[in-house]
Amino acid sequence: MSSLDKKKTKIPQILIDSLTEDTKIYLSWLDKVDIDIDKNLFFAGSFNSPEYPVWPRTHDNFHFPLGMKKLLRIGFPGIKRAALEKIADSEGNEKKYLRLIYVVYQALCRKISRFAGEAREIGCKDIHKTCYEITRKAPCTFRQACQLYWFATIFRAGTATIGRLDQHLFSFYQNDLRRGTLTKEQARAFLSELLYRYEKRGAQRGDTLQNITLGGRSSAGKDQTNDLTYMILELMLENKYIEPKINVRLHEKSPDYLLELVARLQISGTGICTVYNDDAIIDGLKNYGRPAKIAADYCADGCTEIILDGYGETSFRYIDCVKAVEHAVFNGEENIVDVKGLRYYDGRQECVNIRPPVPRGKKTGNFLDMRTFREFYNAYLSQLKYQVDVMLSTAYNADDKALRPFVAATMPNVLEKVQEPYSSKSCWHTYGLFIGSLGTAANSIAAVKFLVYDQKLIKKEELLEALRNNFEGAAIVRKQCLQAPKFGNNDDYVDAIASDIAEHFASWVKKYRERTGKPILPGLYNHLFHHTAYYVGATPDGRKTGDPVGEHLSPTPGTTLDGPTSIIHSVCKIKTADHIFGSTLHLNIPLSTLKGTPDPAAILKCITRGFCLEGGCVLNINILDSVQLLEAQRHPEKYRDLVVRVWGFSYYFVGLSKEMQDHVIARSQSEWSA
Amino acid sequence: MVGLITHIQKFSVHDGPGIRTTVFFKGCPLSCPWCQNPETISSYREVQFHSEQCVGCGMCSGICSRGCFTWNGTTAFNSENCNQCGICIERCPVNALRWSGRLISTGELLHEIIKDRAYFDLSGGGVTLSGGEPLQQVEFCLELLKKLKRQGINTALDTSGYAPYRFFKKIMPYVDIILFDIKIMNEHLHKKYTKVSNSLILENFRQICMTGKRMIVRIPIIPGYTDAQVNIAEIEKFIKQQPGNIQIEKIPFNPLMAKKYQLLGKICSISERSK
Repeated sequence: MSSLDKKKTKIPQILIDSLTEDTKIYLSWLDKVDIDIDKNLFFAGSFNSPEYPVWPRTHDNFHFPLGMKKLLRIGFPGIKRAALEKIADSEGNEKKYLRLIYVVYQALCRKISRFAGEAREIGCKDIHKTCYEITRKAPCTFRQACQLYWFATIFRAGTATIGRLDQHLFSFYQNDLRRGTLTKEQARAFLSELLYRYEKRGAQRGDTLQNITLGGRSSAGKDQTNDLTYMILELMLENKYIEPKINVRLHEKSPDYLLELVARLQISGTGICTVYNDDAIIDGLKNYGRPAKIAADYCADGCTEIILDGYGETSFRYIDCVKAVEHAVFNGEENIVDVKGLRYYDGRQECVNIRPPVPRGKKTGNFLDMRTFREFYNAYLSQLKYQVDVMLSTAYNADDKALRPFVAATMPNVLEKVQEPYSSKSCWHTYGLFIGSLGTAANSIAAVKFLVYDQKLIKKEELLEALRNNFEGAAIVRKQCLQAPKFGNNDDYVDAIASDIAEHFASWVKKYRERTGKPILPGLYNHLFHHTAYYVGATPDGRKTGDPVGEHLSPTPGTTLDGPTSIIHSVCKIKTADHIFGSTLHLNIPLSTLKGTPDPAAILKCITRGFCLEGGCVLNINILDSVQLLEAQRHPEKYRDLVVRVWGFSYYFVGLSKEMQDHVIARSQSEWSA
Repeated sequence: MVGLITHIQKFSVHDGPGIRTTVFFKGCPLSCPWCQNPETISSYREVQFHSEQCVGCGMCSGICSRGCFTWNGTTAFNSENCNQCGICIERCPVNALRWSGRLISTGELLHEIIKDRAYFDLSGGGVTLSGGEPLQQVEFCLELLKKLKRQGINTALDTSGYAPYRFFKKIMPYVDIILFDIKIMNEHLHKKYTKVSNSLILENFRQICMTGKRMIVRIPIIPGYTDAQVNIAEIEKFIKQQPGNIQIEKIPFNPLMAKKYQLLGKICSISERSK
């Protein structure tokens, strides 16, 4: 085959077919987007876009931001023109691919023209001018940039990750200020409306993925916190919005006022301010082959995973390290196999039947025959490795996935080199594998070590029998299990097990590559922690089936007796920068603890700084009041506005299903708060 | 040197500035009926019964010769006749019975305290010696405080004020802040409720004020005991008479402490009274 032939078949026919089909659907959907202009608002476009007729998993999963830097730099017409230019010297499927992009962006420009026309008719001069300008060229003013931002949002067909908003818009703001065409008050008013629009677009939907990432530092170490960063945080505080979700990047030299605002948001109780430690994360990303400059441009995805803003898409698989304990104890079999249906929210969501990602393990031998702890632990590790292999041997190799042209065109080198982003080496997609609830798994293994092998308090037969019966009729065994060392108390007996599992896991995942040859990223994350609670039977740490497991990297609810500093010490013994896809600690601090201190925000600031100093990556502080939560469960009508962080998202407490409510209550009840 | 403590509390944000680690010493010359830490009153270690951990096996009621336990399906503990022999603790299969109070060396204690060093430095916090009355173990305190100061850690002493003044004099060079409890101004009432006179306490207070040492006065607001307006006004007046600008903290009553009395097999007289 000649090199020319190779080039010809770069984009396979199957993708062109699937994208052509999707583009048809997309264009007819675009027709239905309202030409909505409100005289009292600054920007055109309604808050919501119409329902997309098919669930577009293969074409956009909404878990990553558009390439907003590129889109703002060249605008909708810029992309249209670039596609047109390239069409002239392309052929075959590349030509077809560019045509799809061209057609879509032409339709988008026409759509914006219709907004401009409508604005003129009803006499909204400013809106007319703004819309008209962005159909002609790249945005030049802050106002145009904000308007383009909103169009890009409603043209995305679903609520999606937003990215580094303060960085994207800053140069426009700065230029306008310099030219004297914008005042700070005006900029604040524009931002305020933009945030209000996200709040309206996301409200009442729960896991909307609308995540903004603010602040941070450049690859050269320069602080990037700017006026817009502060404005957005202040507006979120003033308005008590629950959308968009706020993520803040911090580093050693982050200004104190930034931390102050973060702390105040955390205390405000809307549960929506997750912090990221640049000093650990940027280096972590570099270790996985990400170039320094690109690594410095990371942001949060739809939850609290770490992705690269505007450099590609993201997707993840997960396996269950708590289930692997069960496999190790029961020689590859499941302890309980009954399927339970669960909901996240009350009523409006379908019940899902939950099953573990890898339900059965491999044969690693009879637990009763394992004479040393080492034998048992090795069995556990091979069970976990087995899950990694099962999951990753097939993941991220499929070549029938393609990003929707609207999204793809904003990614690096898609137009310049005419490459489909999935197979492009210029894109930096984030593909990863998660294990979460590591604390619960470590507790279970530590309990076996402590009770069966070290202290010899329980016989293996007894433990096996108790686990099989979900501790029914084995109260004494269960109490002993509950008293074995637990993760999150700065106790090396169990913390060492947790970090060892994590280290093994990262080393196994490191060997796998995605289609373009880039490493797959491990993460310590489990967004389905409440599934795990039900599909894993009783565990040797004394947990009955259905009792909560720790979410992400957090300790099991109700097992930390030594306070938040010890939780952080335990978590930071794990090299979380190796688990760079996301290793989130949810730290719950009871409101009662902070009450009566002269400056609660100062305390939270210190915890955040301390966490970063210890090398932690992602921290979410949740101020919970268990008395209030219980009261809210009894009298939901009185607590309609109570917001809690669930995993990557925050939601109204009363709107959660009973199981989710119980989980949140369990983690609010820490013994050390009494 | 070893001392007897009940508990080391990390992330303590109510016992002096910043994030602190509070060490609770066992043994107190006062016995206030509202004590928030009743396990720190006695100077000896005591049996504690954690009912939430108990499975009701009845083992303890079978072996205790002094009749501390009554069992009818569930176990109840009354420590009135207990001689702290500890046999029940040894035998309990689920560790529901535990000692309150453990001996610890200053080295071990320092090792535990130093773990949160970064948070002390970030928050302007440090260590608070509380209890109980730490000055009942003054030599131990002194050795610990010297070690802490050598590490540059901020130190606070939470005291009832009931100790010979020379004890204060001894440790003061190594203490940054004194949290000084003043409960009741009327000597008669003070003696009635706490079992000791307040004259030594107030005299110590006057003397410490003269040294210019940073002090925070803590007044527990206990309904029916210390919360009378006249009492609080008198305390405030007394403090104003002293030189220096002394901060006052009013500590609200926490009814949750009744549970701690149950652990010790005792009855919390003041929560009984409020019923």
